[in-house]
Amino acid sequence: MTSDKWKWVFYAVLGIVLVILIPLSPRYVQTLAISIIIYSIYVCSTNLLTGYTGLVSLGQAIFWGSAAYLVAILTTHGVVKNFYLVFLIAILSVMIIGAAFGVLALRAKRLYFMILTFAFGHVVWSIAMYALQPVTYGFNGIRDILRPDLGLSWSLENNSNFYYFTLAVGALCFFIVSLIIHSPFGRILVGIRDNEHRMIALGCNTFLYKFLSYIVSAIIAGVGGILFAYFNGYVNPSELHWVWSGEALMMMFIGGIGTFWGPALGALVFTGLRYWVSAYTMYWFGVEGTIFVLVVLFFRGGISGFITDLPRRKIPSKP
Amino acid sequence: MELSVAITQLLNGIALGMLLFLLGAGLSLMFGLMGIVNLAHGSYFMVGGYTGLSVLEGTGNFILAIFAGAASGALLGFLTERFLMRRVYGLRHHEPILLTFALSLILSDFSLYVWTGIPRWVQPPSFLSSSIDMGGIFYPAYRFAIILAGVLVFALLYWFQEKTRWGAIVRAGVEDKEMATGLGINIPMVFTLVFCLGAFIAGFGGFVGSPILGLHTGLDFEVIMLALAVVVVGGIGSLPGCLATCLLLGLADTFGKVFWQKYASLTIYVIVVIVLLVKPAGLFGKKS
Repeated sequence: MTSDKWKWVFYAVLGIVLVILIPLSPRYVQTLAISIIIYSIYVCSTNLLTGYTGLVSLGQAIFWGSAAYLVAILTTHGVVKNFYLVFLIAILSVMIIGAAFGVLALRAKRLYFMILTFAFGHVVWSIAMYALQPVTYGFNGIRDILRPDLGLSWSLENNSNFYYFTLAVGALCFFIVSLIIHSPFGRILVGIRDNEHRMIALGCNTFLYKFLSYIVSAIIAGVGGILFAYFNGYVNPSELHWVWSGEALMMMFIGGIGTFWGPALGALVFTGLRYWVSAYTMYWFGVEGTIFVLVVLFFRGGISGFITDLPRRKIPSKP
Repeated sequence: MELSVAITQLLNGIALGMLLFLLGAGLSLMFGLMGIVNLAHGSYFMVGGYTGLSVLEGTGNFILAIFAGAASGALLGFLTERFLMRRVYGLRHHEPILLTFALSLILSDFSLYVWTGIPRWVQPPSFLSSSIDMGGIFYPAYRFAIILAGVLVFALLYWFQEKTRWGAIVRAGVEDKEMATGLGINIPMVFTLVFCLGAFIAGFGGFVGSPILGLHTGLDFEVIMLALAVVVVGGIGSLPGCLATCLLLGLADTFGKVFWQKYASLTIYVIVVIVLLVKPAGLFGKKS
């Protein structure tokens, strides 16, 4: 029962911090919190695919970036102004892209799957960078994306309002992922991750489950990308670059792969560190890489693994 | 297209293919032997190029610079294998990948710190800076030298793999690691050797290719994509297959730039996607 008690304490503290303390904090804390939540959503999608389904993809940025670009193109070129319509178009497009790439990529196994997603990622990046340059402005990216108008009296130009909006969407994404991983569907995904041959022997159509997991993960990454485009107001091709896909995997790993709160922890540490380190040095990649190497070598379970292992470590109590 | 242009582009494609071979041969061997994708391989290429540049500026000796570039690659390969990869063999396959990814980020910033981000071009040595006249078509001698270097490295590697005792041990490792270990072969030692060799060739290629590709920030991430393309299109386990793939991709990329400039950067990846879907083991792969 004690672990249950701690769980409720954790949720209560988390709730108080997220709902009350952060909106009361200075503006830069809010901004930082918004980016942490948005990155959490992105890493959460990676975690569903890699942590729970066991598919290592280097193409997650395709969905994040495509959704962000769609928002940018639709709103800045004045094609569609309505937020709900933009959201719907972006999500549907990401779903279609996910379905197309998923069908193709999932024919390959393990490392070949990863390289295929990597190749798709590069194709999409090249399209944004060169082929569609008149629309995407290539390397320069798209600027001046305005905050969305929800059609309510509640304006998202206000930073703390935008924070609440992001928090609500983020909570919804985490709630959906929680439902998925605790459902029979989610258990099957974990089964595929742990032993795909056995799942096939049990009569499970593993391709279908992996495909569905891929699409759901694409949609969630897309939601993150949409929020990012509105929040950042600026989208450039690095949002589609495979390095950003790799960073999602790193954040997931630092937080704790295949754990529910891992993505949020990873995004928190990643964003917080980047904010702090950027004040001292421009070599963020080097710092990030070094931290990651240390995590893989010494804390293989990430932060989540470290925390859950704490009670099991025999710490001699004071006499 | 005029014949002279076609021949020039053909030679350009072959030269690029040879550079791809220098880059991809080691990666392909590592993938075949250890089953890992080394995302830091492009970094060996770039660091090799920069190190060679520094030595060239310091001594003015092009040959010495080539060896310095190759040696810096080999040193990085040795350190990677000995101190990082050795700890993660046999774990889930994302740990080695992410470890090499992290390493590539570190090396990318390291190069930015040491050599700054200003794009650099290496001048070919004076005895190769002229053009060769082939009945009215002038072609840079340096690119011929690259083609020659590629052929030479291929021949040496082929001889090493097929005719020497060490080559036989590496082949045995690719075929069946457990059996090779059972026969008393020191497999961890073989892993280190292959890592050093692959990184040596990549560092060599990095400097030799720098007069053509240039040296700039992000070069590592650009070339690792090409190297991965070589590995998956060619498949693992065949050195001549690897060379053929490199030439194919080099020619495809070069002629892609001539015919559909706007989509040229896609040519190689379209080939990758098609090959992986139609023939998942690669064009010359022995096993899936």
